[in-house]
Amino acid sequence: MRRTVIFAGQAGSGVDKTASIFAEMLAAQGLQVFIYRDYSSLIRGGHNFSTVTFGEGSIRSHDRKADALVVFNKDAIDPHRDSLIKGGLMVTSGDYSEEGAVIASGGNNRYLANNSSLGIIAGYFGLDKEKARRVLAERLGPTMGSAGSAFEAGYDMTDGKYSIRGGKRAIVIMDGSEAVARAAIDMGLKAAFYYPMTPATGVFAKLVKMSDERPISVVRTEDEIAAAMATIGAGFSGVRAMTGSSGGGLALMGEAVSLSGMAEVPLVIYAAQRTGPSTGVPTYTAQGDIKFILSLGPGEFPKFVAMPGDAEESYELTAQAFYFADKYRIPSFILSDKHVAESYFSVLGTLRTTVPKKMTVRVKPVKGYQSYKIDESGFSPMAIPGSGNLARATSYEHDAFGATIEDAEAIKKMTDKRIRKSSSLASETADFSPIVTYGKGSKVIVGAGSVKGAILDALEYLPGWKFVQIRHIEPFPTKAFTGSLKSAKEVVIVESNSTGLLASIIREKTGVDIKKKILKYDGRPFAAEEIVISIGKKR
Amino acid sequence: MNISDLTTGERPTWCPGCANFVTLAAIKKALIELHSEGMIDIDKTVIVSDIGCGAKIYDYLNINGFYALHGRVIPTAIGIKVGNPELNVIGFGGDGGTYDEGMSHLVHASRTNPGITMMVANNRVFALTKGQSTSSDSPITNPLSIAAVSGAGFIARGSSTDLDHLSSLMKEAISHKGFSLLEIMQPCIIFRNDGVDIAEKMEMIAKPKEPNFGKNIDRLHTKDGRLPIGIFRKEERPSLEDLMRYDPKG
Repeated sequence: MRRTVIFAGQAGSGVDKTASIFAEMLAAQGLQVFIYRDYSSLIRGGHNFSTVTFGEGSIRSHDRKADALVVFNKDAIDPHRDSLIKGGLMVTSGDYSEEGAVIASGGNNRYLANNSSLGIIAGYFGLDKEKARRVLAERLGPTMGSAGSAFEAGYDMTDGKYSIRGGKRAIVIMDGSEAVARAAIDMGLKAAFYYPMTPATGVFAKLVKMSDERPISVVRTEDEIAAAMATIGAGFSGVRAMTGSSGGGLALMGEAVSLSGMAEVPLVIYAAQRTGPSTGVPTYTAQGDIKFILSLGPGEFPKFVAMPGDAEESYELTAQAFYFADKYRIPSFILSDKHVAESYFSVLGTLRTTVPKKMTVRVKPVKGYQSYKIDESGFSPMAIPGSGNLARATSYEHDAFGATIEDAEAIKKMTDKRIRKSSSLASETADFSPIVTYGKGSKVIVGAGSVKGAILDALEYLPGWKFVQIRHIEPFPTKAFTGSLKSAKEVVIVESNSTGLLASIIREKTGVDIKKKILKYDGRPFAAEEIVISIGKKR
Repeated sequence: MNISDLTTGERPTWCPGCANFVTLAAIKKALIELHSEGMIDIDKTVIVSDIGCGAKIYDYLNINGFYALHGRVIPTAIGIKVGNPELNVIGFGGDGGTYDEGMSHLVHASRTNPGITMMVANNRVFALTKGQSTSSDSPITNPLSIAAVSGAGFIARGSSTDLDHLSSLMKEAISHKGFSLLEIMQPCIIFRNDGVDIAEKMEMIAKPKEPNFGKNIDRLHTKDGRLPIGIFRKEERPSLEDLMRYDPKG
């Protein structure tokens, strides 16, 4: 059974924190949780809310209807009044209330009122009091003080309508940003360069925090151009490095992406999509940049682009992005979006990757070393400065030693060598599950990235349907994809954009024309219910 | 190590008589001397090049090198230095790349003090694209003073009309810990052939006792048409990579 609580209030009043502590309480009971965070581009005031959906089974997306609504100010009631189910619980605080609502203690003291609200909700759903209190103590630390008593008093304020009990499996609550940062660290990241832009900043904020205890350099540069160029510089020096941004910031990185392709120096870019062209809607989600990322940077050169659909995949695909970037000496993208970056997912077990963790570079002298050796595979390890080899990289067309050339035959030879890497890369990425199929059935839902959670939860209400998830957009897994559609009676694609960009890429790469599209482009992520209803209508 | 070790087999495509030949000779001389004095290890030295005439030095200097993008020498060099602080990183740019396209990088490198050297061949013209004017063409522009107010720790100006002096400034700039900026006044013999003018206006400024070169910075603001040549500032402070956490030695 799925249950949902919406926490709502002004920015700065603790909506996100209270919701995330509640999620950890749920996880401590062995329940799976998903939190959708909705907030505006402002610092204080406005209206923020977090939708916490949880249950005993798999929970990978949020529901729109809520069993309980916790509001931190009066204005937060109206936007969510209709979301509350009949007979659901409303918790208010401060000097306002509604008929039938439970008023949290603490009055206008936000800190006490939030923790009292937490207690009320924990009691209402029948969470184990002691386990929940321990989570609170851990999160609040020595400052807990009276918040602990506010929580306990709140716990007994309702009779407790539910008695939810989870399994024994350890569950960790994590957003996509943290998973990307952890993967980077585990892959041996030594330097990160960034310029803040929502929703990409989360990864770098996390890396800054992590750098307190680890020997890594995180530099906030003067702009995205500098960030991307410095990342290439660090890669050339022989360490793993990354940068990242969103929309317009990524546009500024275009020349660096092309440089990485030409100079064959690794470049890992975390690309987090937001809504709309240009400044768009900074704190809302979309999948409108898929084609933009595929074509980012002038000229022809191989790239790796992966789209994670949750926190675990953010970890796994980030690790892949690092591995392929230096092995093939190419630009490599983790193409995420606000919904994956900033939603909290339940991670079961440990974060895993199957790629080798060591960086592919030449550190020992080789006789007659050539930076751009022309061979069948098209790629060979890059030598780093100080290794006794002459480390040469260039944005100009070049010969095998990296010297500038302009003659026709040499241009063609080097272009062929670069492009040959695409097929070498494609045959290796095929071993890293570029396509994953969930469920069984003769009817297929196709999707990539953040639509994953809602589709998986929708499948439970859609017998006969399976989900084919595309994890690598480039190189596109043509064979695996067409194989997964074999004998499909019906195919529908789900995308968070207005024109069906993924469908267009699929048609280009495979010739398969998916006509039935479920598209959403209002900045809000899909809920499972919407997909179930839309599939019904499409048939 | 001698000059032939630093020379590639590439034939320079600079115009006959180009000032860049002087700059190339001066950097070879500086690197050979620094290497033999034990000040640098040539295997751990990297040049980063802009795009334009002067940037072609990448092809003619047989050393670790990154032929980067127009205006982006500084951030590329910073990335290399942060990635491996043991490397000596020397950037070669022109006035177009450094003072126009990449001006913000110069301002911020002056402020954050990465341990890199930036050499700017200033001929006051976009030469390789056939003679468009750059911002430093204007008499009101003084890019070195912008670096000075932004906090650059080492600021110097040399001239391609004096190879030995230029080479000695290069050695000082490369040896400086922290960000060093060396402007090289060059004529473009095709589009702005003012070598005689540069030579006539040149005025060597005295090298005061180290470490305080503070007073020389005032010379950057002379308005009498003279072209002061020498070291204007040499002050050390913690570098960007010192303040960062990553240390290759562990």
